[in-house]
Amino acid sequence: MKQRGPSNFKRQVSPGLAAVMVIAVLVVVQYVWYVGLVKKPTTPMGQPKSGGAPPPANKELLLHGKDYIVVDTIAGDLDPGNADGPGYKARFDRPTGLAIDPAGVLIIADSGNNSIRSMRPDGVVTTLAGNGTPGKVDGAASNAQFKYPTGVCVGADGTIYVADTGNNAIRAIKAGQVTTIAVAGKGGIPNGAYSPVSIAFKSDNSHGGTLLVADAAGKAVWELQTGGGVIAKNVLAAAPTSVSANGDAIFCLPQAGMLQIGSGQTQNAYIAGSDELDDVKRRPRLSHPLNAIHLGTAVAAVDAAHTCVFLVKNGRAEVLAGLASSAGPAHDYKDGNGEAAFFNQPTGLATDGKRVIYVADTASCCIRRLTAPDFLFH
Amino acid sequence: MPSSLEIALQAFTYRLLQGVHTLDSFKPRTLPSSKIRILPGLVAAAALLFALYGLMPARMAMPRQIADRVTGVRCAQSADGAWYWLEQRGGQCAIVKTDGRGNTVIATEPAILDLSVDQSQSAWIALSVGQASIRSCAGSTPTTLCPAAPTARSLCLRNGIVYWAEQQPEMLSGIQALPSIGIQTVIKAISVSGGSSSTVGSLLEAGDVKIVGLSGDKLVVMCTRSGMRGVSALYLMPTKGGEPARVAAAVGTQHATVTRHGKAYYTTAGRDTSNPALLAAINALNADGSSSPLSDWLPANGEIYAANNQLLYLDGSVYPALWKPGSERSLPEKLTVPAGYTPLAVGDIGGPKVLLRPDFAISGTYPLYEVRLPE
Repeated sequence: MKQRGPSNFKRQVSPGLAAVMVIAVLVVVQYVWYVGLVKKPTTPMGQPKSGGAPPPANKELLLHGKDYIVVDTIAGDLDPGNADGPGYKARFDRPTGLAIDPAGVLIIADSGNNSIRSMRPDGVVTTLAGNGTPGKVDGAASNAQFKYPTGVCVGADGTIYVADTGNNAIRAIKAGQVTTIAVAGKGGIPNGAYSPVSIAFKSDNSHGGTLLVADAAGKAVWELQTGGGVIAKNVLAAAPTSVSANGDAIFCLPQAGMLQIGSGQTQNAYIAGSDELDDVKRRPRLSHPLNAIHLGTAVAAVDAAHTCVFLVKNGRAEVLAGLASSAGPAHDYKDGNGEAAFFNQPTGLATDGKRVIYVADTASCCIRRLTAPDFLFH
Repeated sequence: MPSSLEIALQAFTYRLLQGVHTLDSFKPRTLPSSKIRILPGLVAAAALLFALYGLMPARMAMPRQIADRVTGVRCAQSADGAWYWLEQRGGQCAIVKTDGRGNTVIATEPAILDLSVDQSQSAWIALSVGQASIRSCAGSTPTTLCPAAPTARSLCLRNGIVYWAEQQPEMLSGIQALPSIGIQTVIKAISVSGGSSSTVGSLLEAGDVKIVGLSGDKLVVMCTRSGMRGVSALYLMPTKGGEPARVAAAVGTQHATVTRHGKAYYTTAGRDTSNPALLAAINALNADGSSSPLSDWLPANGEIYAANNQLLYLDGSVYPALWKPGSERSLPEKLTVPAGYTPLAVGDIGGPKVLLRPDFAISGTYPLYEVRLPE
């Protein structure tokens, strides 16, 4: 019987083949490590996607450049409340309408707190008017009462106008005093189908400025003098939820899926990036636009069917921040870059005209800020 | 010869051993009987046992069966010394009352959305073919108080008045994003004996609204807003005119109760934990609308019960446990429930009692038991 020993030891694999296999495995590991952790992701234009890289020069990058939009919360938190102070301490309850005065102060219609709040550029939130109790009381701003105010705008002289929805009234705040300038049932405004939900100030020479009031119940936009007198009533195709007047007036008609910009109309704009869907009917669309403002040559809009902020241009809607889906709104609350950010229920919009869009995230009870590249505003 | 000192020491030792406590004399005494001599030992042993008994957790008595062959108990409440519960019986929903003298079926409806009992009266929201109505039973026969309350979802019966919450439709159908023109909640009231209904007030709330109880002349209303990371808000709504005031709000679903003396308590996410979703705290609502922390570190998603001035918490775990809330300086105490039973509710039946069902009764029919809580 032959003894097994070192002299007759036989290798299972040849040393050369084993070395090749080891080297191959190492190469694969190195490649995965390089691709996964080292290599910078690039856009189709070859630019790095993030990490402090310069903004893209080509506006076509809007289709893919959402990561350059930075979303953060500047005031409030998920839990509702009524507190003034620095943004992180301030609390709101379902803020809706936004406006910015010439000094850069953000005016906020705090619907659930029945008050009008302001946020200074240094981030401090104060209550401008309203004692928190729903009602209709004029007089000193701290004792005045509103009921579910939804829209705000700032006049040329600094007067703040409020669409006081629960009272079917237009209120004015000037020099610490609240007055009612128009109310349903008086001065030509009907007592029934009238529900002001948004208000905008339009500068003109004839009347020292005109107020445009979106009337959801009356399916109309009222033109009022700053003193409250009715100039005209413009009947729309559907109930408006917002009106904007910095430039051509913009009306949002969510029931018709329509954005009316001046005399032009954008209806059911499909959301860019969904072109690859074969079935056109399945494309997510800007079907219920709630609010829109001018953003340079384009329009920024929010939609009830999608919890995101859009840039609408030439009948197409680009997602600036949030998540648009044909499956419906994706509610959540998360700061981050572009499509990584989530909103619960964006309703109000305002811009400083420079790089910032302010969003009232109603269900999150906070004010969000979108910081965008300069080219969005040109 | 022993010295006198030695004699004195021997005598001292002898008397000590005999249990004599005085050293005034060397005169021999008659020793007490053995029964008397062991008495101090017995007293000491009894005191020790009593102390040990006091340190042991309180134990409940044995459960007493109060109903048999029950199916699908949905909610149980107590009033006027009787248990009331909703029971799913096939395609019908029954309101059953038991007061120790037997079980009585108060009413049977195709579906019941909510039940409230008070002072041997009961009121409920009946749902039939998509139509909700407010019904009550103040005697032996159920009556319909409001035949058409299509969006009624919650009701509360207190002091002979039925309060219920209805949703008003949004102004623009299908568009609820703007709260001021979206769905709102209206609280209505009607006497349990009938008559016309009146509107108590309205709330800018569109989610799940629950009328918790009556605190003084104000209704305590808990609203849970829908949506991701929902928020609960607690309101005080005057019943005799006036606007509601939001007195508390927090992220997550909450539960509240009002004691028979009108003191309101509500749960909120645990404040002192790294994972607030897992633990709950209980706050007390003060008369001025402010809140005071009462207890923390309770398992989440539970319900608060008030019975005979005792506040108890039934946690929301799969096999729920009953807790006695602690204070700011003490942890809550887990109450021992008889083995083999699952607590369903706590009621005031001549004192705090727990309604139990057997653990094995996952489906099918099962008996119901009650057991008195230790005072």
